[in-house]
Amino acid sequence: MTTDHIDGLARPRLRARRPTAAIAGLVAGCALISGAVIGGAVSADAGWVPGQPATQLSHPEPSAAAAATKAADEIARRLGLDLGVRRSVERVLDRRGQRTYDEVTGLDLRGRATSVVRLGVEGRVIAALRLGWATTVGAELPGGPPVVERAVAAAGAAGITPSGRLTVARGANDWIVSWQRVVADIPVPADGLTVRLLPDGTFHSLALSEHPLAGRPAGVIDPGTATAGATERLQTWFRERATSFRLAVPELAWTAPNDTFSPGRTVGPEAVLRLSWVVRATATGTLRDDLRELELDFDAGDGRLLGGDVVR
Amino acid sequence: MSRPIRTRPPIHLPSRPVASALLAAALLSATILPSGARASYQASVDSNKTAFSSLCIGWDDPHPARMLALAVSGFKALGYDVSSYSGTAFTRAGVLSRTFLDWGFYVHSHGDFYWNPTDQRRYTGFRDDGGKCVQSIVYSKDIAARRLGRQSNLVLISTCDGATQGTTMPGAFAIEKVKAGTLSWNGPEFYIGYVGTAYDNDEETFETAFWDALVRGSGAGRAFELGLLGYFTHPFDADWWGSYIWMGRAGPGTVCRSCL
Repeated sequence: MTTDHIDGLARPRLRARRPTAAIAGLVAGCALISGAVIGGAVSADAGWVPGQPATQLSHPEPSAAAAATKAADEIARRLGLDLGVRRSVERVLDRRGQRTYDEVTGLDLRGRATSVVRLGVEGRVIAALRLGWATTVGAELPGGPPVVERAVAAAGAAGITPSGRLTVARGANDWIVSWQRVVADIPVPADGLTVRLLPDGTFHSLALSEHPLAGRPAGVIDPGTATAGATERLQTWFRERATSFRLAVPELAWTAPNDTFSPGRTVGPEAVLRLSWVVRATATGTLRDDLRELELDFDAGDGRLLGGDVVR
Repeated sequence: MSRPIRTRPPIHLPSRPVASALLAAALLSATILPSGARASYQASVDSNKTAFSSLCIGWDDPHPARMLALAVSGFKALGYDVSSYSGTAFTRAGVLSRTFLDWGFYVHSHGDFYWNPTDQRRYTGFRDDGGKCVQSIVYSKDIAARRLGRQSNLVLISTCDGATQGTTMPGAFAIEKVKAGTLSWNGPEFYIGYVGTAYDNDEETFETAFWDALVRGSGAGRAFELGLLGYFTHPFDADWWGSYIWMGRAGPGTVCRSCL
């Protein structure tokens, strides 16, 4: 049984709207433009509504399954993952991520999953994961170069040469080493390689993403135009409280248009990234009780608000 | 060579304390709650929509409704008797009146280590909705006081700082901050929160993958790990406590047979 209570009244279960024909067309259009998100071609079937299954699983053709198993076995062996005694292979359509990949899961004698390797339909590894949540008895790495060296080695074992903007962070349970994709000196925040290592440097997981980029606009608007656009939006939305935001200098980035500021436009981030001026607005004073930060992404070509993000 | 994060005896499913808790829970369910095997496993899903609507911030942010829909469908598919609350239905008083009977709990809202003037200390907490822009804080201590140590099963705190070091929220749901890995068992429980601040799109990316994997039978630990494989646009981290091999399903102690 499911009951929704909104404004104090019990109402029938919320049903998110199905994409309109216009949105469906947009998704299909994106699919045509994008060609291939790393991990597989975008499908027009990618339209997804929260509450529906986010993934659709199927069995790949035997030859494709065999090829995926062979490739995954090799990658797992190089990464030191437990292959188990047999594999399961599923073709996964990730509706929100708008990509398709083959997921190869290693299984032990009792049918328990030991490792996961995901391969794009073109055969490139996009994720690998050591299952089971174990840590090691070795001493924790001190951070810095030793951590990066281990992460580079893990990436190499998976056939990936890391490049881009490097960050190293000590997460709650892992070292998190990320190389953010950079295209012509402009960052692509949604893309790149992230390697997670257990505290002693043992490989835990890696994940790779690379979205298609729309064409660079013929002309790029002045960053001041983006700042002015952000200021105007904040004044409209927050009125006198708008002065409580501290605006950062706009930065160029390739971002995914989304519906953060335009509900009903689409569901989740779009697959094709656009060149944007990203304006970060940090709340100060009592406004921080309402929200901490906004990011507003303006199309670098024409100044349209493409989307953004919120920190509660 | 690897070992579980915290050494515990080899698997005893369920352990004696767990069995006691389950027995107590079963008796409680049978005596207080409506009949029906699954109907007794209440889950509450709260999402703060008003704070992120045109009433308070000038535009209608779609994330709160979407993440509520994800959680509702997830709990429902896992067999819980789920109800969702937003607007004036999501109040501090409402959360606290329901919490004793909640086996599952989800909230999407503001979260922080909030200063409690009475106790002169900070607790992890979140804001309610209430249909207004100035919102009450639900402290972990409030929940703890109402739950009286009653065990919970699946808890996802979709706010900032729900799993930041020093969080007091897991204890409010009687979830010990212990990771029972593949060779151990800490009862049918799993708590997830975010470390530090988190952006909405990243939270949604994680939660979409987590619920999807959990509903498909991955087990809570594996679903958590698959959730972290998503592509995030900002530095993002989450943490968990509970039993890696628990299935997340309503009912006593369902172990993931396909988990290590």
